[in-house]
Amino acid sequence: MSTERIEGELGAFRDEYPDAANVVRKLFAVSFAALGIGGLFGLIQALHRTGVFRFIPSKDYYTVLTGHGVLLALVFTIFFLCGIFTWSIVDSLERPLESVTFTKTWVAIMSTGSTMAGVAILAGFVGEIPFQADVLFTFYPPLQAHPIFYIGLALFIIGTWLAGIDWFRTYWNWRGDNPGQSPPLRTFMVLMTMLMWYLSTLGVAVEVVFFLIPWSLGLIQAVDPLLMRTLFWYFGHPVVYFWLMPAYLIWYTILPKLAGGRLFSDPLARIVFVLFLVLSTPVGFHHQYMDPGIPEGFKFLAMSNTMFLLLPSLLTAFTVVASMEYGARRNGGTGYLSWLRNLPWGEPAFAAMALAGLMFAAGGFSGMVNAGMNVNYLVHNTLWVPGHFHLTVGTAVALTFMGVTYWLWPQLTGKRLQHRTLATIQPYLWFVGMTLMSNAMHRGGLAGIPRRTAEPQYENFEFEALFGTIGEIRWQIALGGILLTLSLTLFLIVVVGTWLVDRSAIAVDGDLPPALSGPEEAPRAINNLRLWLVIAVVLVALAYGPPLYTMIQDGLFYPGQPPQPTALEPLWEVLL
Amino acid sequence: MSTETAGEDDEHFDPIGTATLIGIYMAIVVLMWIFTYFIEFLGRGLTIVG
Amino acid sequence: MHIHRFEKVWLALALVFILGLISTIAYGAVGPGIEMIDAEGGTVDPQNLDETEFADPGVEQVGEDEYEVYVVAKQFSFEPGTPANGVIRVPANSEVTFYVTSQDVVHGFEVVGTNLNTMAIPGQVSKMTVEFGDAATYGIVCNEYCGAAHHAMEGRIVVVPESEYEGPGATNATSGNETTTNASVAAAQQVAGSATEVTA
Ligand code: HEM
Ligand SMILES: [Cu+2]
Repeated sequence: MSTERIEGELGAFRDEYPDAANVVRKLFAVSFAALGIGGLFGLIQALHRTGVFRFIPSKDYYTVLTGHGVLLALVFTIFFLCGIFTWSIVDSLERPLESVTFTKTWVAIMSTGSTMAGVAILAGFVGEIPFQADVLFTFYPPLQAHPIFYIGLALFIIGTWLAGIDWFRTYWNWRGDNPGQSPPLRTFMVLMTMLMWYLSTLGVAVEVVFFLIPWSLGLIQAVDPLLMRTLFWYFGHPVVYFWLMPAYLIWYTILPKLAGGRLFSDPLARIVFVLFLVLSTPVGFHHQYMDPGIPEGFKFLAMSNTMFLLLPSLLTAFTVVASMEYGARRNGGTGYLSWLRNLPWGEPAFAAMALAGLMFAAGGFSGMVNAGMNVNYLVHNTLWVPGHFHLTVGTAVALTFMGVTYWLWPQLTGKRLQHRTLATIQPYLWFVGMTLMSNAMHRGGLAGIPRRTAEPQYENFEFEALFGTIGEIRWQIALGGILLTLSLTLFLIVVVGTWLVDRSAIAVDGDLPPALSGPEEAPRAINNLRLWLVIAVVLVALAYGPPLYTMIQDGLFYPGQPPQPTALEPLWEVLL
Repeated sequence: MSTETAGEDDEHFDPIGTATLIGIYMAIVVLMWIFTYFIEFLGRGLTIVG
Repeated sequence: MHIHRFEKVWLALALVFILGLISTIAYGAVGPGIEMIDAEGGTVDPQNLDETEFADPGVEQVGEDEYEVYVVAKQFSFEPGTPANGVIRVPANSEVTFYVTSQDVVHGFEVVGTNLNTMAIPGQVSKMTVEFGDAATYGIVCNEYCGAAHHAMEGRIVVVPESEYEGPGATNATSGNETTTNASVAAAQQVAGSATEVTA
């Protein structure tokens, strides 16, 4: 962090750490490819399910939707955050990659895994190929995908585990050279996020490796659908924080600088990440409020944990906005609200992150409703839910990632950002598109319109909108989808355009200012990773131990269900 | 870490604008929560009571 | 550690807010008496529903104004519920307990525009009691993706005036004159048929 990089000088992250920059560029490239294809699928969905424009049969809608979910929620987000984390570790510890071979290995494993899953999904479009994975990104059995889908997922997760080892190893080596120092904020955030990830991916790893892979190979007959859902959601909520914590890292460490200020409080940022580690996992049952077979008490416990998980986000809102206000006031801002005008709204990186934060505030509200146990009856599995998460992962995370790209991409490529006008318009276009699509989805959900459905209408009843009309809701979703896709195209033009030009002075200052209240003010215990991990494990054991125990008491595979509909001959029988 | 320390002005920085914004946000959220829970949700005909 | 006093106030407010949210939910459970779907419905063997209370699903009268409805969700209909299998008929002003399960994959059971909403999971039984008021018709929709013709999975609950209620036996399609809807279900099943071909 202390390295001085003079503005406009050729020296960029790329020149200081060429290997790391190379890896981060590759990770971003995969991520953006997924974003492009996934976004196109999103457009098809928005037009198809509203009946505005259709060119695929409705049965293929679910292949598209699986692609959209997997490419955006898993590939785009996770490849990007692996890039950001690699950059964070190298830049904040000021150490090059420990071993380029090791780093390239986990990138290759993640890429192979995603390709396998992707091939299985796309083959669903071609009836002749005996592959398919029309199971959506939640892959609830007994719907069954081809084994390469599950094996691909497993490889992908293993790749992220190795990535974490890479970052931890760098940190341990740094600590050896710098005894007694507290880790820089960015490193601390990466390590906390990875601890959370190790703890939470255990659920999906057990589900996929011990149950779904053998089941899809025909080695075991049946799996217990409720147990599988429970293992999935044990992972499924923390994965949300796996997307979000990198965005928080960016908001805490980069956004204040872009606003012309600096972080308000370093210790508070650390406390927030501790809370995320401790509270992210014992909440998965809040995705199963409507599931039979889970006692109400555990749902209530998950609900309380979830509500307390609001705390780190509410604290973040204050600290981050205060850091921006500090910058605005240094730039001459005054008054209660007029300082907002002194923020650099014409800077694409800043505008993208600030708008992302604003939409996250709105998504926070619909999240409270989702989290509210009994009020979940109102919205469960309706269009309200995608309305919610397009504000959170689909904007707070996605738009922040795009914003940080405008700042980091020049440092990674050593090239000046191209098409500045397009980059300046892009976040605003996303904001308008998402406002249209998301508000309409929320209202459609209140009218009872289900999510994950290809058809706009049913035979036995009609939807009635509480606010507005169903027709207008459909149009807003379609129009919003079009604007979002347009915005995405602008983003990709800027990224590719920048990549393709010749090198020149980059005009980005990569130096990050220290916090107003620095890490030396934090209580020592805050950096005790082991302590926080132990507390997290205990909370998870309390929240999950008893219900999992009851579920497996009547047999690991009972009540069990063989694959429906059978996707292929059990491989085992073919081999014999 | 840089040796730069917080200056006099920084010590006395009161984020009054942030407090205002957050106050407005909380007021909106509380109102919407009350509306969604008590009017929209509890006002619906069929509800599971057993 | 230095924490700005505004932040201390905010921390306190945030905690009060969180407790307020939790209290609202608790009030919903204690005041209006809203119950969560839970483990009360027990489990069944989804591969042998014929040997369970779901062998012959439908409406049963169990008390003066009390009824039980057993519903099997399957690709891509509700039995009863989808007109081809007979819609669900209950009298007005009755207390009805639904038992819902699935015989194949995970489905949803959402009564559109109401707070009646559950997952239908193979092996598990969702038990839920509601009180119906005046005569009305409600739509049922499957709100969890369940296969290539998921969008064709729907049904109806008809709440008939008490004086016109013919008893729980009258749930088959033949008892109502459902000509239009029968046609649409046939269409839906065609979609379903072609879909299975593709996935097979
Ligand atoms: C061009 C921009 C986008 C458009 C037009 C779009 C559109 C949609 C629509 C219409 C649905 C609902 C489908 C349904 O339930 O039937 C959907 C689902 C979804 N979207 Fe997007 N989306 C966009 C961007 C994103 C982004 C950036 C993310 C995440 C980073 C995302 C993540 C998801 C996920 C996880 C689902 C749920 C998939 C499922 O239910 O299995 N979307 N999207
Ligand atoms: Cu279904």
